[in-house]
Amino acid sequence: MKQTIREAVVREVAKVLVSREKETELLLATFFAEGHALLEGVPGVSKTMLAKSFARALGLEFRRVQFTPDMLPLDIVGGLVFNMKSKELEFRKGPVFTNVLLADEINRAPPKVQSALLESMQEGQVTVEGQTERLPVPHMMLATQNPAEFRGVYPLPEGQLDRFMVKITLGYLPHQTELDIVRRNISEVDTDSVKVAVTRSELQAAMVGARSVTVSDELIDYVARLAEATRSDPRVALGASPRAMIQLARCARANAYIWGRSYVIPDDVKELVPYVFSHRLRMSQASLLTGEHIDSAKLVEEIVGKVAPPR
Amino acid sequence: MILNVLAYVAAASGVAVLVRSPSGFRERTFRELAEVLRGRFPELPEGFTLREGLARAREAAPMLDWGEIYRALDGYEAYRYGGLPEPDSPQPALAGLVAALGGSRS
Repeated sequence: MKQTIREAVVREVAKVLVSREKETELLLATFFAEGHALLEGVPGVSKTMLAKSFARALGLEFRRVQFTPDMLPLDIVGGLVFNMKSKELEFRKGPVFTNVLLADEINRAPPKVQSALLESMQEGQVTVEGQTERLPVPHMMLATQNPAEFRGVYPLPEGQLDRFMVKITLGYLPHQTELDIVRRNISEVDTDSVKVAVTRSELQAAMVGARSVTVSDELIDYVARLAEATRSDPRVALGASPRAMIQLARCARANAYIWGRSYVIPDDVKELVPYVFSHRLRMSQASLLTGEHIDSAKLVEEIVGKVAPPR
Repeated sequence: MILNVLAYVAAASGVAVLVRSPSGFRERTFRELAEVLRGRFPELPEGFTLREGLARAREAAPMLDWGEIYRALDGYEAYRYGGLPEPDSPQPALAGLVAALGGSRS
């Protein structure tokens, strides 16, 4: 049954996307862990298509917002409007009030818009003029962003990056796979072919089930040692936070669930570390001067290779 | 090299005893197996998991009963990380694996 949800969602997404099974599984684990995902990649690598087809396969209410430089916070979270009939101010809900919000090219919006999303991402609610409104449950944000070196983008603040449970980088695929993509897409892709893969009640049961997965003390210790290794590395200015540790443990728990286990194993943690830690690390500028600078993803890879899991 | 040989012999001897004595055998067997894997495949990083080590061993010894070995691993993980009861049946496939990796068969 648990296996069926993973297989069914992956199968549906694969109807419109080639070779994105791993990314779909990561999104599913993030969803069951009640987290948000950041999809990064150059234009044209199916970030938006992945988000859309994933939401569709889950059968959840879905909204897409294209982020732009002239955007205001109320364009996303909503705001107070004057009701001419009742002569009162009323809260008009913004597009964030949905199950799955696709924040397309999130880093094209200015920092104040990005900051407006912090409360919704962390607490599942929005507060405007002292009025707090709960978001629907489940609520997941799938944000896409272009790499920072692209023109017209604002880097996401650390506080917001830390609220994304995972960052999934979508790169170019092998030659033969790209040939398949062109062949399959040479005529228009029919996104309607993605069917709802799981009923609402199955989804709710699965969300409860994912929370009941056991994470042993040994594995919590492993998570802590991995985080500590990022903090003690001289090439890192800002290491993995306690929130990062919690999110890693939660994501590992959900990953175990979608693979049909009621307990987390070391491989669940190890596999997810790059996706959960890499975007949270801020590398030391001093290491640039000494020639020791490496990219955060490579550093995480190095740390994962050095820290011994329980065996 | 000498240390590796000693590790293999020690591991194989341990497995031989454990196969005859079911109580707690699996946990000790897998701990020993991790050491044997480390010695046999020095390219494995310090952070390797048992599953990664076994995947490497499978490439080196594909003729073993890998279905049985992975079933034993599943049971061990369920016991160690899931708090489920430790299976009490001996696993000759594990002894065979250790032997194939350089130890002596029980």
